[in-house]
Amino acid sequence: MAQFTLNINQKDYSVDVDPQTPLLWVIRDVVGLKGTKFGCGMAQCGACTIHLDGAMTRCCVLPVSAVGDKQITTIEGISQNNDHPVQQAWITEQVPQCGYCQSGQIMSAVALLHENPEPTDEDIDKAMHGNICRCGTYTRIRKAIHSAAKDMSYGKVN
Amino acid sequence: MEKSTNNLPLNRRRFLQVSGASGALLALGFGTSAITREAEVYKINGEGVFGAQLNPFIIIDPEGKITLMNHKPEMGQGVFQSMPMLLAEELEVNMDDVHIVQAEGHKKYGSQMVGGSNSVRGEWEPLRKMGAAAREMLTLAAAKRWKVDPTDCYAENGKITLKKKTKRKSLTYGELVAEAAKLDVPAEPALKDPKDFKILGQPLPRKDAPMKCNGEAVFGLDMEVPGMLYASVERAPTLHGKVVSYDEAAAKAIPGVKYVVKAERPVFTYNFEGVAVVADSYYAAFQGRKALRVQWDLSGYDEIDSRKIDEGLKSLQSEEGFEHETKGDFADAYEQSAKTLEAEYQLPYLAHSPMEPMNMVAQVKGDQCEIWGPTQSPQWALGDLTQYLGIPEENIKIHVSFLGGGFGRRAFNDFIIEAVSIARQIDETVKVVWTREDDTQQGPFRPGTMHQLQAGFNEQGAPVALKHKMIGQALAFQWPDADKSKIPGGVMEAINTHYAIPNFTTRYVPYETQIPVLWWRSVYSSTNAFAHESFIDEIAHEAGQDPLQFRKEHLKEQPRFVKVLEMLEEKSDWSEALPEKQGKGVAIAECFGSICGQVAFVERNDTGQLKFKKVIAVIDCGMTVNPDTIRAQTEGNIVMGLTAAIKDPIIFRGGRVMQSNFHNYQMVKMDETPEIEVHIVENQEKPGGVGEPGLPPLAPALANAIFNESGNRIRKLPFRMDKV
Repeated sequence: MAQFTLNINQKDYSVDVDPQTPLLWVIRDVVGLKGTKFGCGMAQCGACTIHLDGAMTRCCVLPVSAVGDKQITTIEGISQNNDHPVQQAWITEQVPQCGYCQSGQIMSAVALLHENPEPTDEDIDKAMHGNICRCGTYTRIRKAIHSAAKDMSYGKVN
Repeated sequence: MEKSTNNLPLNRRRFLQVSGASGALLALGFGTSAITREAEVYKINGEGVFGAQLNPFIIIDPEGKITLMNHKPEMGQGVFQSMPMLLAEELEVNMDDVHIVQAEGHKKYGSQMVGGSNSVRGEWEPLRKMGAAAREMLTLAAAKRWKVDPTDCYAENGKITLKKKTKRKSLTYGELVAEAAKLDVPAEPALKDPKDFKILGQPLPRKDAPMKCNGEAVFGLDMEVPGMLYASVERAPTLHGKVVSYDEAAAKAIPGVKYVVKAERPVFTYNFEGVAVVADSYYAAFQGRKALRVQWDLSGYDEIDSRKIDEGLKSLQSEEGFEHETKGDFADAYEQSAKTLEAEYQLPYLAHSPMEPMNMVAQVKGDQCEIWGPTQSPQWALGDLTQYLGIPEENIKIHVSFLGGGFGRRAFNDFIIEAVSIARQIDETVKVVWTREDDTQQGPFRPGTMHQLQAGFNEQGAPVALKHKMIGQALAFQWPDADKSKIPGGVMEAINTHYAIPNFTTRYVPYETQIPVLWWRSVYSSTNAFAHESFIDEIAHEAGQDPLQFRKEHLKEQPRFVKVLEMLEEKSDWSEALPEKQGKGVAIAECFGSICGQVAFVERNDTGQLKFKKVIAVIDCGMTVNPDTIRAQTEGNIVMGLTAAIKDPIIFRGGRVMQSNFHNYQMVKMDETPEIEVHIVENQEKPGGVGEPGLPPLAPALANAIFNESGNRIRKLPFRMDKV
């Protein structure tokens, strides 16, 4: 066991865990933020997607000891009131079905739009390739990303 | 439902309520006389709800807050919205004003099973009656207060209003609930005329959408119970392996590991063994599991091998099995045919792969049991647990979370019994977490099938004889008391015997293996429709007819099929010829009370690569509750049907499943998803299923489109898009 200080959603958490523990389980079961999901344990499905210093990261394969002082953002940290433009677009387009993969989908989409504010369909396909949705909400996700992109660029112009 | 009156807020008046009924009628709480009792805080599935309960589904707070119970497990299919919509329509309340609570598993709700696309079709009347009964009780309470006849009052928007123009007045449901709760529950409340519906048929936004966008929705894996431990179960590398020995000391040497116990998982007549490592964190449990080094007896299961299954299915082709439907004399007509056509179709075993791996939290304290998690069938769980633990139903509490996908897998309760088998040995609360590998490899699986099809044509080239023989495992034959002397129900789903071919026969030949099989989204329709609708395409082609016109002509006695085909024809511009290197295909199937037809479009690019461009779906599911959910479910079915058509099968070798995780058991992702258009037939037919009927037509429509483009007939799934 070892002590780590994790900065999650701009708040410091001190945890005492096995250094090899994947960050996913620390976030979920030690810190108690359950929005980040377990789907495969080998970075194949994207359900565990978070941001490390803003970059899209699959935390089910990342040992907690490898985080260092990087800032962690989870689904709970992207907005206060579910009002991030990507979340709003998700609700408007009625994306979720079972909803289990959607935290990861949204985190991937937020990272994509941060890097590429006006993605094409091909850009979206590429960026979202690591996220599986077994319910098959892909067409709505694509639509929601385009509509969030419009909202976000509108915000910038004004 | 627990009640705790001592939690009552002091500033609230106390009210009376009608208790939930008991006994069998119950389900609906009708025909029971009122038992007055003070209003309470109901603790439902962990949430406190204050108010008076008019029936098991409706609780109204004196200040007017309306709580509607969703009694069906929500696994993506939209019951969290559609069930309350049925209540709200008749109760005359606005969906924006209601609070929805996920009910726990309890017999007072009637059947809570979600499967067979049955929620809306099964609850269309019962839940509306619950809403209507409450509305009538509230109306009567107002009429009594005003000393008028109830027919002089009407319910709207959470209020009862007096019709009389001169003294128009109204009372809110909150103001009336105390008196209403003292009244008898009407046995036959009047239902609204569908033309007066305000909510049903509207594409209202789902109330569970926001909480699924910010991480708040609680799935099984998110359940927290104070003091809870975590378990990971080492399972046999082959199906059916037996535990010989394991290194308990090595597992217990991992910091955090507290217990090592054997687990059991009953699956039909089998009892699958495992070794559970229980620890204070999931990671420790998983590390302990790896340290176990279980020695297994794997002998005797070599027959579980896909090559042997293929041989076994083929060897049954000479059998005739059970008759399903017969018209005319196939044998004679086939014999006399001027031309014949024969084809063999085959589909693979598949895993369900919901995104949330299987899991359950379980606690057994003395003769009390409590579970928390994602199940499609709370009451079956109740029955299974009663039997397994030998305790009465009243001693079992079932808390239902959101389900991270189900697809049939979570209707089977082996994973619940396994969790309970562990919990009762350690006398602690434990969350059992399956790995994705466990989920992929342990089954039960969608059964693979083989189909033998034959058609005969007369001198004019018209089809006069058709035979479809399905060979595969029967789900129903797996139960210990199965009657194997009759054709099992459901095995011939989606084999469309409406096609007007004068002589036909459809038959089923059971195949048995030690592989446990299970319902998988759309069940046998997921396999049968591919074989049947592809072969209908072959027949149309052989007859020199357009495949869509052929279907229309041969289904002309079935107006609902014809309507779906006509809409498809129009929406897809079917009659317009496609440019070179493009193809289109059509398929139509009936599944769980609805008819869905699809037209698929494919296009080959300059490098010869084929792309699935677009699919247009038309669904006739009768009267609708939420059209947007119908569209969403059909979109999802198309993607799941596509994964089944073009992605990995489950392959068995020497008793083992060769696939393990999403790297070698792949799913369709966004880049392979075609453009999808869904149209809903508007009619007043009784509601049909929605969660599954969109899946069966996808594979045959796509395969027929590929034939149209390339002349290459696909008769075996899965196939690879880059190889056709």
